[in-house]
Amino acid sequence: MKNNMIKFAAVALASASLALSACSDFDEINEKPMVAGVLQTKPYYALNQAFKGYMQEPYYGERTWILSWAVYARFNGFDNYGILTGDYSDEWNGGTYGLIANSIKGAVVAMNLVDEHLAAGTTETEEKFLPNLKLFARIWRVMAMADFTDCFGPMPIDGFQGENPEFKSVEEVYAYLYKELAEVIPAIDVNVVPTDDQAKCDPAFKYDAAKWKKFGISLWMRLAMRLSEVAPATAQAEFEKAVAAGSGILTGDEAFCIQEAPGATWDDYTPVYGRGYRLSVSATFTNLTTNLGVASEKVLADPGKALYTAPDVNRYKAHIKDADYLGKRFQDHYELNTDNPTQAFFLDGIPANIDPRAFVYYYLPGDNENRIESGYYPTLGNIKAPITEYMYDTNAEGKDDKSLLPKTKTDISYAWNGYTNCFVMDDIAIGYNGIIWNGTSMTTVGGCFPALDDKFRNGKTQGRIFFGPWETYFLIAEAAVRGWNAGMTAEAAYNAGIKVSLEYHGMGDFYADYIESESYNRVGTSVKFSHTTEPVATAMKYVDGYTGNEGTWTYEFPKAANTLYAKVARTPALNDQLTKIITQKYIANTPWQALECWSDHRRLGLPFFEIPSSSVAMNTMPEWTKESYKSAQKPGYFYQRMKYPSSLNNADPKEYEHAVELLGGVDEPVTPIWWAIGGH
Amino acid sequence: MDNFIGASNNDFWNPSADMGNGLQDINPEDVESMSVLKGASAAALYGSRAGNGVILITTKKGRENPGLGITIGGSVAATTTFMRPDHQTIFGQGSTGAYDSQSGSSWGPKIEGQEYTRWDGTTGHMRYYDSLENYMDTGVNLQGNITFQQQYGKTSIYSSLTRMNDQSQTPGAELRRTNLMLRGTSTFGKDDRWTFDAKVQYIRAKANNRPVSGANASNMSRAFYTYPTSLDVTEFRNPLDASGNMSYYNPDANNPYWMRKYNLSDDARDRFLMNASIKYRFTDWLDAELRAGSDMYFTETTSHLYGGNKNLQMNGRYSIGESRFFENNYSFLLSAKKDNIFGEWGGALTFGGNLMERESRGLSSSNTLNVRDLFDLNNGTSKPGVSESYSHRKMNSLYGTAQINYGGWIFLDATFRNDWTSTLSKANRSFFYPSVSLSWVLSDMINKYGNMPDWITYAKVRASYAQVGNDMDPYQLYNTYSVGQDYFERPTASESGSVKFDANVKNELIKSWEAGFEIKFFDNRLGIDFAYYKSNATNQLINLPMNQLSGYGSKKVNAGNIQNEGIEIMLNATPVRSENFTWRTNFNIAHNENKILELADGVERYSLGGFDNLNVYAMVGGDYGEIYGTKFARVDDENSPYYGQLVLNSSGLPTATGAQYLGTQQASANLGWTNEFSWKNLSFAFQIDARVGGKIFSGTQQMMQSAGTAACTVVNGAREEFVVPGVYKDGDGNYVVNENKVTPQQYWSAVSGTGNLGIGEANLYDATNVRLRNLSINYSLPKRLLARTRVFQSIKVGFSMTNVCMIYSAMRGLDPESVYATSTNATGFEYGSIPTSRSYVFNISLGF
Repeated sequence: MKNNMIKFAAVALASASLALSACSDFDEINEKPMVAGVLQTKPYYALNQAFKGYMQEPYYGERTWILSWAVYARFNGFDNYGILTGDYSDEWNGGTYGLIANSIKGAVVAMNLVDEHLAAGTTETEEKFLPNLKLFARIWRVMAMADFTDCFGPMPIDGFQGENPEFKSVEEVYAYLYKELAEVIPAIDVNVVPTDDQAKCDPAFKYDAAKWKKFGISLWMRLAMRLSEVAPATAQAEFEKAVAAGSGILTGDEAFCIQEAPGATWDDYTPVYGRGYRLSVSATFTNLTTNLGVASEKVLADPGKALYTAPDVNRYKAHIKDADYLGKRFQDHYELNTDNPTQAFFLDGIPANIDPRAFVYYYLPGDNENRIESGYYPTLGNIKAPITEYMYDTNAEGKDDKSLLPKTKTDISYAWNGYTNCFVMDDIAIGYNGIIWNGTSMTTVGGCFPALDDKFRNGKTQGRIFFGPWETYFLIAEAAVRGWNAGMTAEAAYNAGIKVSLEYHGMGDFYADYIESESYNRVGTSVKFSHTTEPVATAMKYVDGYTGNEGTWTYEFPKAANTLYAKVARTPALNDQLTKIITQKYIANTPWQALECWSDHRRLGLPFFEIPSSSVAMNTMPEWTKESYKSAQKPGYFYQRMKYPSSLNNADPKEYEHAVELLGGVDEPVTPIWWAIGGH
Repeated sequence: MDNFIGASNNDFWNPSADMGNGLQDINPEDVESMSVLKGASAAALYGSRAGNGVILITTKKGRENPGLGITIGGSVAATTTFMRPDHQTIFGQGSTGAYDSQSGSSWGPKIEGQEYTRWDGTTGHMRYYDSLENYMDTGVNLQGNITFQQQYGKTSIYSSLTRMNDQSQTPGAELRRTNLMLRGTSTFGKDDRWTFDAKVQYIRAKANNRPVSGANASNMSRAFYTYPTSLDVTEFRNPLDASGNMSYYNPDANNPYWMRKYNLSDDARDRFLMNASIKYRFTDWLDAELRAGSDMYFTETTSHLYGGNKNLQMNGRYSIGESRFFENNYSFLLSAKKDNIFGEWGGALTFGGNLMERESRGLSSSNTLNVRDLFDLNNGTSKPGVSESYSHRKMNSLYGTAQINYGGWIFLDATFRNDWTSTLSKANRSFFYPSVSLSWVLSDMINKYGNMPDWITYAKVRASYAQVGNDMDPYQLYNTYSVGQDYFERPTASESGSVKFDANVKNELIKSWEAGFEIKFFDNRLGIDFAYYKSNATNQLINLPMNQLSGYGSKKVNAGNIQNEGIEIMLNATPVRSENFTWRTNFNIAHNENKILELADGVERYSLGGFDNLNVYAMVGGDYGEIYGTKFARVDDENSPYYGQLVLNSSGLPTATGAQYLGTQQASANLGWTNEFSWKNLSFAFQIDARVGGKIFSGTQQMMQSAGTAACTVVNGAREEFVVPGVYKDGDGNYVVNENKVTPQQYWSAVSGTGNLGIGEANLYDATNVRLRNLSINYSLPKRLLARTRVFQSIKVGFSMTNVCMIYSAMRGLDPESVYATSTNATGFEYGSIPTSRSYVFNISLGF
């Protein structure tokens, strides 16, 4: 018995001590292998991560870029999700919110690491370079925060501290961004040359301090101009400070531009427009570029070798229409309750005059014989002209060969038309109206419309432009028109902006003719800066799409007094200098600067965006009625902002409420933010 | 019991697939007994894993057998769809009443056998196709097993082999499993004081294309709920076109037949479970046991995406992953037990300890292919990358129990356990949790000192209090950096993960009370068991969502005090008990009240699931699972003559409010009624289950209404225009009675097509349902017949059926038990769920 008790005690003690002593390696066990120490983690690696994430892998590329931003800006005309009429996707908005937040976080991590590395002591080259790097990270943060606040509205300015931050009004956010730029730009030491290892981690500027400084100055101008309507004095003061700080981005090689990776199938560097479907041009864009500038025949001759391996003008000759020809009219196939002046017309050919960049950005249906870039997205098939299409009988029971209307037969080869804005949930507007059905192409309705050229989708030659030199010039031109101290005359800056844009796209040969052009585009704007005569209604030729009979049509330009621009214009106009500047800025910023083009329209109502058409009232756009097109445009007819994702409301309901309160309206896409028309 | 344990991935788009649980790896033939230890009372012995109770499975030991000791058994089961949403069969593919071969919806013309041009340009006569039914298979499950058990002297052997093959209703999904088990037990030494017990089990499980749920292209049920009614999916059975690429009516969508043949994912697992113990009996009241065990498995996952699908990858993609896992446990246990130590006082004591170590490591790689369909990682469009996973943790524990009893009718038990975990910081590494319980068998006491009335057979009261602690997975104390590179091989760095860690988090703790009584009357012919419980789950370790502009997506916190309080009553009776015929019946009712007493500091709600403006929350002061969503806008001015009417837009279509409280997912009661009849060797049983109360949102209904496939989109066989009763505001802001006619398509796009989930209220259903849950018939051949065979020791045959019929449900054909992801906590949110199934099982067992 006693013996057993000893055994018992021995076993118990041995076991207990085993258990307790075995805790000694716990700290070691709970340290994960594969983690990088603070000093192993170079701050410029972290900033490179911020750039990388902002390139948008295909998940975001599709949702944030193509289906949201490019639709808001009307670069992508075929909106399959009702976005143009105020619908939204919580998933996409959540993605965009996180995308921008992560990029800002990358910049903040870089800044924190700079502090830690400098505090710990590092090499001489690092000690020189890191202070500059922190300034570059701050510039990047300013850009990303501006993108965020311009998309969503109110946001925090002291985020990324590991606590749910307090939201600030858009006004406070802008004040903070100006303060940052004012501190950062003079502090950049342009004499610091990065080592190769450092330079490698900046895909845009290789950490060239002078270029970062120019980018900062241009960005300052962009953000200053944003407040031109809501706080003109602040806008002017900030703009003039930016001008005084030095020169902005003025040449092609100074552009903030990051090369995509053509071979990457699913990576942040995968081309952002690279998703496998056609991206059709919008009626907004074709209205702006049709009849603007120079003769189409000359553009197609391609003197700058920008479009074709071997230009073949003869191919198009039969398709180039007279300047006074509007197209075929299919009024039964369109909802007519929009102020799009070309609604229901389908131009069955090439307009007489065109902005040369139009054919760079968008290739014409069937025109892929010898485009330098293949001109079509490879998986969409290779449909070559001639292409003939028909309209369906709207009264027929189905869409098939039997329900085609024989007299609507139309040659759509090389036809230049844009996809009109309509309510996608409305099958009457989307199913029959506004399109010619492309029966031979399997790529749905888009096949009859020009589509974004492969050059902008394959990442081979075109870098993604975050800030182009033309934008600096157009900002200066606008500032000069407003009478601010911009350092250049409005006209000189305007022409310089056009020149650098045309040259960038290989269309420099047309510069001289282009800036002298007085022909009106479809919304009444011409190129020549001093030509400010307003357009008047014009008699034009057209063909009845159902009978084939020719007729005369009195073409009415949009009513200047009814435009959204009229709400801020000194005098409502279609062809004043500000309209010209923003029209050129819009065309030059296509297709990379969707956010700027969208912001300009929200700020100024420029350029002219048509309101949507629909056969029923739309819950997503409550202000719109079937009668809206008859009177003045309202901000509520256009996409104004991204709704906060539900994840914010789930994570911090109090600050979500606060953000909506600061927004000053309901959390919906049609609520204008502070600096936009209707937001103040 | 509702708390945050469980659901690891509730992602709306890609919730985790059902990978099976440990239970499924156990062969039912090997089970000797299975008992459920409710609440936290099993805490001391089983530790943190017992937080929500324990299912204790004892596997068989070899038993002495008069025959050979061999049993052969087998079963065949078939699975079919039990409940599927009500769908219309009258209107065809298209929109606005017109046929459109490219359309994904069913708002086309009435199907009347008319001639039409099909998607491929040929003509045909329009008819309805039930694509879900045509595409899905009948699930088949085959099982066969052979066991051998025998005892030789003091050594007994048990071994079994089981083979299972399960073909899912979702075509292409298959699961095969082989179990092998060998167990030997022996007593030896002087007075048989030593006992040795060893068990080795090998399980190989191989799965192909596990069914996927959630809002993604691989969820086939979701695709078929909205499939165009007049389109025949079986036409696409040959999914390739002339050039070997995927063909389909709509080139932007994925042909389901292509997906099942050319988008393959497989996983295979080899699992070894090994246990050995040795026990020594010191005296008749004291013994000691040492035990060692290992659970080890190797998992291989592969996925082959063939080329030819422009929506995915033209040249294909290949992924492979290898991982290994082990968990080793070493433990000791000393037990002492003696009755009548001092008078009628008796007692028992145990003391034990356990060392646990768990490690897993995995490598995986994936590449898009350069040469089409050549599945080699090095045949990629880029260099193959590798991702590595690693996890390692330990837990040491000491535990003990003590019991005092008196007279064999009253028992007081106390237990304790202390865990030391490697995953919490040094200060919080050690945590202690005790339990105490009292059980008083009144009938034994009275019978001992007097006499119970005859009609009372048994009476017992009980009460207990217990705590269970739990830790978390490793590496969640400090945020760290990781370095990588971009596509152009330029270095990048970022903070790992998006969770903000807190080194000061401590263990979770569940505290629970239970009290109850059990009385049996009339020689056990009538019985009642009553239980009251209250449990509070506190300090739960959750990732609390953060505003991403804080720099993190969520933070690790100890959150909450979730209280579950309820009663369970079980009545059982044996109305007939004669020599040949017995009828047993059992009725139970459970009611649970759930309350969120506290979340984290300043946090009022926590989302359990949902999407966009339809969310299921745990709200402080409210239920676990309150459903919030949009409602139909109504006139809310009580003075208006139109008070309560729908507010429509100027076209006469309903509009929505912001998100509001819609209802709770909590049932008010769950009821069950089982009956078992046996006549000689034949038995028959059935069970009826009812759930009363609680709400559920159906995303399936919403998507079907939007696509025009829901039955409610057709009224009396037609889609006539109609006037939605309600008012709208005219230009001056005054209400006008609506007289605008709208088409059903316009109506349902306003109700179910706006935003992501339509108007939430429109598809909120009462989850109350009553069903005949199962039915079974079993027969075993009489012993005397068997005796004549001289070969068989036993022959048993049986047939059973689960989900026999739905007696009442209000969810437009859906089963309220459908949820959008396995093990979700948001059971009030349904979205594109795989239909629930009915199964028929036939089994036979032959004993030799």
